[in-house]
Amino acid sequence: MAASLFAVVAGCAVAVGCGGGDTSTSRDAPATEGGPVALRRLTSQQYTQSIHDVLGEDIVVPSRLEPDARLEGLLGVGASFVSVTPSGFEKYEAAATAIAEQALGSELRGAILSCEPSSASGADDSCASEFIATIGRRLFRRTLAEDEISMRVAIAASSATELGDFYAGLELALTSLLVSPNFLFRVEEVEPDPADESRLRLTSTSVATRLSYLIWNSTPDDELLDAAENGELLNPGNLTAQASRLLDSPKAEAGIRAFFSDLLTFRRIDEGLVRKSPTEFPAFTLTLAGDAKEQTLRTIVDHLVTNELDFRDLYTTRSTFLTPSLGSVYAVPFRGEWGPYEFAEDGPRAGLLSHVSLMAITAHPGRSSATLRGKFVREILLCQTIPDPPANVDFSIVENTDGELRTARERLGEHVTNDACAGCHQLMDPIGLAFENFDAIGAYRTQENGVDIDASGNLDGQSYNDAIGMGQALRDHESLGPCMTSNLYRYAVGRSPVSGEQALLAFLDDRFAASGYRWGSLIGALVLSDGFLTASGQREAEEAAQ
Amino acid sequence: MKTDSLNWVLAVALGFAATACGSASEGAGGTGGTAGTRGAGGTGTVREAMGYVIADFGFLHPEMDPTDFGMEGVRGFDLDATVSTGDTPPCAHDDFVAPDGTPGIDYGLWSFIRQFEPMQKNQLIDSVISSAVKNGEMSIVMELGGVDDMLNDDEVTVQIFSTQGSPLVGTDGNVLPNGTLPVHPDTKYHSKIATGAIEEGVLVAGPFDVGLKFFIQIVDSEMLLTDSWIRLTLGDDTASGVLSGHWSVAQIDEIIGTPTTENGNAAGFNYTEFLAAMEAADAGYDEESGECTSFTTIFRLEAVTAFLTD
Repeated sequence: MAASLFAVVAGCAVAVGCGGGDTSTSRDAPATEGGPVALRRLTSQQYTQSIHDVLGEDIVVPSRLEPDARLEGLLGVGASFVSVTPSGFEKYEAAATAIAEQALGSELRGAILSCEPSSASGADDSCASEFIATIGRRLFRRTLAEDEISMRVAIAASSATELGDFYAGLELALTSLLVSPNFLFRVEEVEPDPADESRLRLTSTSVATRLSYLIWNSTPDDELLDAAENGELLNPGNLTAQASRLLDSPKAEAGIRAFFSDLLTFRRIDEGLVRKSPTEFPAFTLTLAGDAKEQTLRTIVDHLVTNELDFRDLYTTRSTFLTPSLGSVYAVPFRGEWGPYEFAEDGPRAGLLSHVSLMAITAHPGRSSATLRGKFVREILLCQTIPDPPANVDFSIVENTDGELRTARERLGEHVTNDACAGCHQLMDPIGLAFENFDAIGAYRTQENGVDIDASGNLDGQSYNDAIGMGQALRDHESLGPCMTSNLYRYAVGRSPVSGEQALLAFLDDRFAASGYRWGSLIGALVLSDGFLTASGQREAEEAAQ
Repeated sequence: MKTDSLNWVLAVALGFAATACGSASEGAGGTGGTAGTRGAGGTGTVREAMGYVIADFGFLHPEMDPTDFGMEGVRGFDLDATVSTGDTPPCAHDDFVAPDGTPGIDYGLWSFIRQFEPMQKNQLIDSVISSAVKNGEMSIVMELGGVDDMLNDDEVTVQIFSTQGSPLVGTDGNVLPNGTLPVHPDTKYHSKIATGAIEEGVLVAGPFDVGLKFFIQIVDSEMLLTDSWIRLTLGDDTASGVLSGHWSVAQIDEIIGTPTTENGNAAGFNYTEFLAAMEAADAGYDEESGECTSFTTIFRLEAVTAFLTD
């Protein structure tokens, strides 16, 4: 993926000479000012990934953490607006204790402890200090201050003496690191931009953290922290080099998975919230649900990262990955472990929206839902707003699948005779009806209640006959690319765009389009943008003072 | 979920054609009569004929459904082509009558089964066998060949295989359709190909020998049914019916009767009573020893569509 990013940077350097000692963050991008920074609480996935990166993959991270919050369609945005409740703190403390116990247990501590204590049965301030400074830097995403270290060395020493066990003392010190706000929250700090004192920019370490959680969904490694603490990330060339390194790392897959899991609401699958009637849809097992999510994520990674293809083609591609349980629902032969699969050219499936995952998420437990599916496309993929339904809507017509109205098209047609419903349903239903050939778990069907399904429709002027055509119409929709740019931007900065950032988003989308909608180009343009690197704290402070 | 059977046949045929022509395609099928393509890491060629996996299997209990299987209506076969009575040597036995009144239906093992509680409906052995076809301990697959018309076809074939795979099981505990299972690599567990016909949606084929491999709990063995016949009622993505054949006394003894623990058979048989019951064998007369060496047997079976691979 880094190749695409380099292309962006090369173009940038030729055009405006943005390398070398230039510390300005705006090149041919429109000059803008990023929005406010925030304390961004680690999502549970980021918490787990960070623990694994710092303390080892073998650590079993307790699953009971403070629940994440989805705001404006993204957990990545919600993280900027949440705190830790008293009960949540108890969960973090319990998790920290369990993690520290594992990390410093006899089996795993060798991997993270670089020094040998002078005595295993007592305190060793030197070794404890080295451990706390090294591990703490990764957890806090910056070098610890002296007092942050010495306080924890004291904890480790007194506990080790009391308990007669160096490692037990160190466990308490590690626990204190893990329950610190400096770990649980990504603290974004700003400083005046030397090139324009009226502007604020993120500090180099804050840029490192943004970059790392955007691309890896995890804490920065030592090399990135070294670069950050040397101030190197304030230089676009160095920033590009680090971003390219991160994108080239195997850990980058976790980053893109995290973003799309967030955007496509896959957390609902993880949390068991996508449920189906066990009698009507016995194929929807836990295994299938997990495989369905994984299928879509593998398809995305393969398409965007491995093959660096046009992002829009995700909605038309027939290339995917299957397991036997998925093969059963798709009614295609498939044996063995995960493997690539190409849906047939003349078959009914193409694109992510024909996957079990998205068809199941956008359906009810016992039946499909053209409305939910249309809403999903409008809101999440096209960034359009659909108002909530009026409180007094009578849903009985659409819910009665055993009545005289045999198909969803017939039922929804009756439903929209209600003027209060018609406005929104006319936006959603034609899209969702295109997917009526897929039932509530995404299995293909040609009829509903013995009546042939009509999946034809029109998406903002482009007609189609079925889900394949709908996917093509979506792929060609003018809002698809800009919406993805906006979604990724919001995910990266943890907030919705503020006034003045629309021009930047348009620029980023132009870059995305000019690259043929290559993912690496979008990432590259985004991380070099003012929106990613600057903040509006000064302006807000001034506004507040007035 | 319903699969259009004819489309299914077309789908498999397309896949076969692609494979036969040297295409890289290893896959086949797909709803809507389409052929997909398996990528790298192939897991065997998809067989061309219609596949099924056995979803339920067990001894036929004549009392289990008085309408279809009542004592006066056993839906089996007249395996010895003789309307036998208890005083017709050798291997004297009473026959049953089919629901349509056809006499001579052979099911000698029933006289044995009815004596042992663990073999009754929903009891230990019945449950174990029923579970075994779902959990991979005795998974069985079946292939119908030459089917041009699911309702009436005067020339079709049936072949039954063991499989080392396990069927997919749904949240309701039943085997799911459209799974993919390999036929057993050892051709010993591939039946002979039986020929037959479909008439008004009911397939009858035979005779053929069926060898089945199983490893149920601690019993690692095999079952051979000789001169068997099969009758299946075909649905959109299901097939149900009976498999009837001859099962040797020696094999029944080895599988079911032989004590497996110091305290006797795991099923709780009294071996003396077991041996006595085996005296009722109704087939396989051995002139040299003067003994009847096999029981006529009827197994009920239900199957759902599956993709079979080599």
